[in-house]
Amino acid sequence: MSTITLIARKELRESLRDGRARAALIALLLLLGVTLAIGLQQTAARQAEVTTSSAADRAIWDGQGLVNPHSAAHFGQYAFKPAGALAAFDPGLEPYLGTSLWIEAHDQNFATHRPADDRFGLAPIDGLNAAFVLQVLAPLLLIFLGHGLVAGERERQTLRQVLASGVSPQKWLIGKWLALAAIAGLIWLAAFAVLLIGAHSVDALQRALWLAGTYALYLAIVCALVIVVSTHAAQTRSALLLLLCGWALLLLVAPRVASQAAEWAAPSPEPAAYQRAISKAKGSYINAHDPNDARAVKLLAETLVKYGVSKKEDLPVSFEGIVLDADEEAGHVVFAEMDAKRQRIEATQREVLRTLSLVTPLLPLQAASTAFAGTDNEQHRHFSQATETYRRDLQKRMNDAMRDFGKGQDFDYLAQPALWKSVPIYTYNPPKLQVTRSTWVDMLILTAWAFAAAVLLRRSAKHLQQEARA
Amino acid sequence: MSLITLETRLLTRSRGLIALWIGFALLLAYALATGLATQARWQQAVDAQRAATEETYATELARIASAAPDASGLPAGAPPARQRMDATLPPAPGLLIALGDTGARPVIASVRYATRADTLFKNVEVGNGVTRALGALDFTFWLVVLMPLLVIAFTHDVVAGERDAQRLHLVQAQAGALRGVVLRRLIVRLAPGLVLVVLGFASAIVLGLPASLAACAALIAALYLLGWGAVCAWVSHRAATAQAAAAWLLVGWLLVVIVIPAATALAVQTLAPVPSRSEQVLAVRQVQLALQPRATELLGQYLTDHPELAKGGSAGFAQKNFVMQRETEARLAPVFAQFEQAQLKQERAAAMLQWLSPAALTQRALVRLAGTDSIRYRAYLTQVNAFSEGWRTTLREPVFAGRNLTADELKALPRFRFVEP
Repeated sequence: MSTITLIARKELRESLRDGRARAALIALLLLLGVTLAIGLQQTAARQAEVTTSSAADRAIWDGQGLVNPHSAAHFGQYAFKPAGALAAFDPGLEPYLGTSLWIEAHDQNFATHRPADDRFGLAPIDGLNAAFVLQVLAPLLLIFLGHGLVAGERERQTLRQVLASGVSPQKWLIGKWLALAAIAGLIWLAAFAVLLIGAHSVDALQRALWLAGTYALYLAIVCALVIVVSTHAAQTRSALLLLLCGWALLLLVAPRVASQAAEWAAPSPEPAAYQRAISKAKGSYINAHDPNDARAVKLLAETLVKYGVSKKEDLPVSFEGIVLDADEEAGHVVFAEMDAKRQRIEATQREVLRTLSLVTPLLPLQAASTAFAGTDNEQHRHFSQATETYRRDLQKRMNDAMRDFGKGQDFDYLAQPALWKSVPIYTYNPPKLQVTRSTWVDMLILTAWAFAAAVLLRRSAKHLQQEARA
Repeated sequence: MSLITLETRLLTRSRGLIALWIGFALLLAYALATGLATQARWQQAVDAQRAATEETYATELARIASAAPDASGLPAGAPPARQRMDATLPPAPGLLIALGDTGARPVIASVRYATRADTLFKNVEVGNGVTRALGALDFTFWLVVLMPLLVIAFTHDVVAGERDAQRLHLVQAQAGALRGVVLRRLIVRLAPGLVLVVLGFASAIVLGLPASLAACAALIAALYLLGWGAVCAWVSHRAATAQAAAAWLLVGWLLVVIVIPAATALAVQTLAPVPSRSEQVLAVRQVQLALQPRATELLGQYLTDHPELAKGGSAGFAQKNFVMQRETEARLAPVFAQFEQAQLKQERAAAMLQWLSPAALTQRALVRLAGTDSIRYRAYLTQVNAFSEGWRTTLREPVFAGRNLTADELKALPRFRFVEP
């Protein structure tokens, strides 16, 4: 057995001999188990709800009877967003993003009914879930268990004896790190064994593996930083104080400061202002519901020329269907522009957060974790875009029906129920895992943290060597 | 030299504690800046919306003034069905100290003649989920979550430190009974935290926080910190060493501030869930589907019940829509009432469970005082719905008469003003 393993086994045994340490570890594992169980139950309930609601909404659409196609277009359909692939582990942004999206004429709506809006602000720190346990609480446990690993030896005045015995300070520190990492590994294993065993598809398995790797890296960084601080602290008390200050600062304060800094750097659009901007932009395009609109008048003239007639009544089609379609097409341009602006703001905010990732490893971890769990902005955007594609097709079908069959009746034309059934059923397939450039950058930052922690650990070993010589 | 003077000198000599105090002071400044920025943003949004609405009306009035009379010789007017009025909620009086639910709830409602209680807001989910998920560092977070750590850092060794240094008996012999010694030392060690709180509230008053609200909030904050101070002294007295005292206090902090409130919030959501929003959506759509083919029939019924409205115009879209929306709202009332009942039930459960954690209790008290909780918002919704009812009453006659609003009628349209509960 190597020196490192011997040291690690000794430290691990000593750490777990302490009843308080064992109790804290068991409490954390229990909390992890409870949060995972609740997460799995909530995700399963959400999936079932999405399935039944989607079917029920489709039945409502199909059951419209004799209705004007444009009325049907306004009545529209609803798209219900399924839970992210591993939302049971890390719900990520899901509580803060809408869950149902109204597909209607003229408007590209936002998904509404954000779960967080229906919650009460009972907790100063909201969102107890398995990811939170690993991100915030596990490091605290590691601090409690590891703060005295080196400082304690110094305090008991056994440090010089150990170093004088000829053991390499580097191996000795790695042994200590390994002992702490073994405890972290126990927590890590408990979390990811459930996810890996419960993975119901290759995609879920891949996501779980990526998550497992990312959290392993994070916990390894935490263990290394604990050992580094313990090595440099004169007493266990000062090590504990420093580590706790660091924990509070990096994991509680920094993300909040970063969030505000991102909002200051690029303020998120204010809803009413955003809608005013859309209305203003739409004002420069054709308005299907205003017969005096100059662009509608021009379109009518062009249509008359196209069909070789001189009066609207002589057209072989319903002009209302044509103008509604032109209105929709104009809407596409406006919504695309507005969406692009919003995405630019979000990109700037992401850059600010990424810059501040150099201050705390929690930010890149959270970004990567939500990406792998399928609960980040990208997944939500995928859902919104898929729904918008469906909306455009639906509107086109309704406007075409109005154009082709509504001649002479326009808005009084009532389409047959067969039209509703001819519309393809809305089905949303969440994307398979794709590690995007953005996620790679977050992983790279996390790896840089790991590298920095390893360098600090190595320097700590040199520091010990100097201390032994002094 | 008195014990208080000695203790003060010892504290001011500790570089670590001074650095910690400065760090907390900086965080306090940041927290207040967050409150101030949020307040300014909210006010700006409300002002911009009001200005936009008034501008729309001014443009409409100018158009009416310059337009020629219509075909029947009547002066030009504005279609009543197209008129809309915003109903804005001004920033909460205590937003500076507690952001509460800010960001979660829309504060600009749009009222039209056909608006229902469930269609006051649309497309309000614009913000970035990332920044909302990360949370904000406001004064309440600083006080409830972070300040106990400062108190622990300053007071965990109030007795145990002397025991560690084997000076406890000496101190007792020189300064009197242990209770008196602990009390005097505690006063000195809590003072830095209390000074920060006082500074925080004083700054908040200067920045616009109402003094009466600040006084109440300061009392709650002082009680919260004194409570932590008392617990620290007790644990320090019972613990074998200062380090053990610190460890126990930090475990207590973790439980009281993070784990118990988060676990109770999770328990409330799990044990008293609100009905599914998807089911609510489907209920609305089923009612709409059922009413769709009955628009003409419903309009006829309505005109039979309100013969004074039957004299005027044709049975056009606006009239049908008016009747349909009222009928939809009436049919959906039980669905939304059920949802509200469930929310109230959840709120009652939360109110009971908040007693499990002084941190949750303090947070809720501050958020309530600040007006950033559901109570003020519920008052806003009630007032908006009453305004919406008044708006409909004003526009019902011209809508059913099929006539436009005159310039004087347009000028006289009511404006929404929120009255603080």
